[in-house]
Amino acid sequence: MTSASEKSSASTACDAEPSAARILYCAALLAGLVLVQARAELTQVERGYRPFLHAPSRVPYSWDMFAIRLDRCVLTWDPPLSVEGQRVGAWQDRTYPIEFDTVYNRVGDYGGAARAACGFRTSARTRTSLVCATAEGRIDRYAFDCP
Amino acid sequence: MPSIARDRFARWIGARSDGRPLAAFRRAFAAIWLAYDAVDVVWGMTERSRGWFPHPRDGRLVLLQLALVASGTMLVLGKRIWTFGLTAAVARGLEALFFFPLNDFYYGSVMYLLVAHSDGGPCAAHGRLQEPPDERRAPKWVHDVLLLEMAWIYLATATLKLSPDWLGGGHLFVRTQYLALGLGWPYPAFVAHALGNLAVDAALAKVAVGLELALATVLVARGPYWLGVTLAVTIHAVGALLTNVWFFSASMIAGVVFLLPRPPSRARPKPAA
Repeated sequence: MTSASEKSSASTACDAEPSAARILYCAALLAGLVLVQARAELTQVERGYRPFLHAPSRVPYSWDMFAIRLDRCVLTWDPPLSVEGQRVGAWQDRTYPIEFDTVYNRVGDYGGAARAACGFRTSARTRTSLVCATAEGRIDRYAFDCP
Repeated sequence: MPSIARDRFARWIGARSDGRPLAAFRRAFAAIWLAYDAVDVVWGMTERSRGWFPHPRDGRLVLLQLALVASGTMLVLGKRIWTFGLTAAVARGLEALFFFPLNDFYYGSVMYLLVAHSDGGPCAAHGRLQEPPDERRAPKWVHDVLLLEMAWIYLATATLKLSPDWLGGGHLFVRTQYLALGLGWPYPAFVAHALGNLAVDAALAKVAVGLELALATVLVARGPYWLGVTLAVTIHAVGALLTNVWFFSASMIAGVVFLLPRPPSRARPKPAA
């Protein structure tokens, strides 16, 4: 059995007529969501985003998916590297093809990774090749011998 | 004037609506990301994405992933929705802010936060509702805010795509050429040829922005239902094939399918005996 006073206190908290505390809770929650996302868009502008002129950058909660400028490269090694006992002839030999991939957004970062990967070479003469798709619509090819 | 706004806000917060679409979305959203997190925690996908070179898994990230798997399971089952929804929101937010800044993770933290309130929020979690949680009566504001949040995401991402890099086709060119060159993506020859042409990518990019703006409008207007579903499936099915983004695409389609109000179904005449 629930007493009348218990019923009364429960209804003030959660009934269809919401209590002041519940209204405040919801108002704070929604204000937080608005503030975080509005702040994110302002940050995009502060960092140089201008419609039709300059691309946005990565800012949490600004929803910049697929909007930033990027390059992507495919790396290969000849002969293959040996990484954790696995023969690795291409960057993708150590990544997952669907959804989960290991990527950088700049050609320079791929170049740095390619040079670092030379530490896993199995032959003194190892050729590293990069095929890069760039935001300008080019396919650029680079190659170098591991130092 | 302020008191009128306050009263309206209070009435909106107290209003209930049919909660079955909200419950269906909660289950679908949680199931999609539960699959993602289960795969992630077993094979360490996010850890590999953080660094291609050999390195030990970060135990703190594994803990967050385990919390996400546990929370996702409970959200699919509909148990302690507020507690586990908030847990998932915090875990996803921490994962994004401190381990891997993926837009999908930021999006997940916001959606989990809202989904956490889909059966009444803290009141339901503390067992203080006068009647047991009823999926047929859920807080209207949660449904409304989820629709508005999705509309905002489409509007914001379409607006941020108004740049030479996206509209000129460069971004799509890079994404599709990378998939074709690096992952041997099985595009039909004529599609691969077309996607290698920057003019085609630019046209596709402009169409995508138009579709995203249209879907944002449909979500704000709360219909028409089939137009919204068609736009969402078109954007995300084509988007998944061109960008290799599957889980986010699936959960956005689920959001439109379950949360956009359906037109009333016409009663079929009973066949004559």
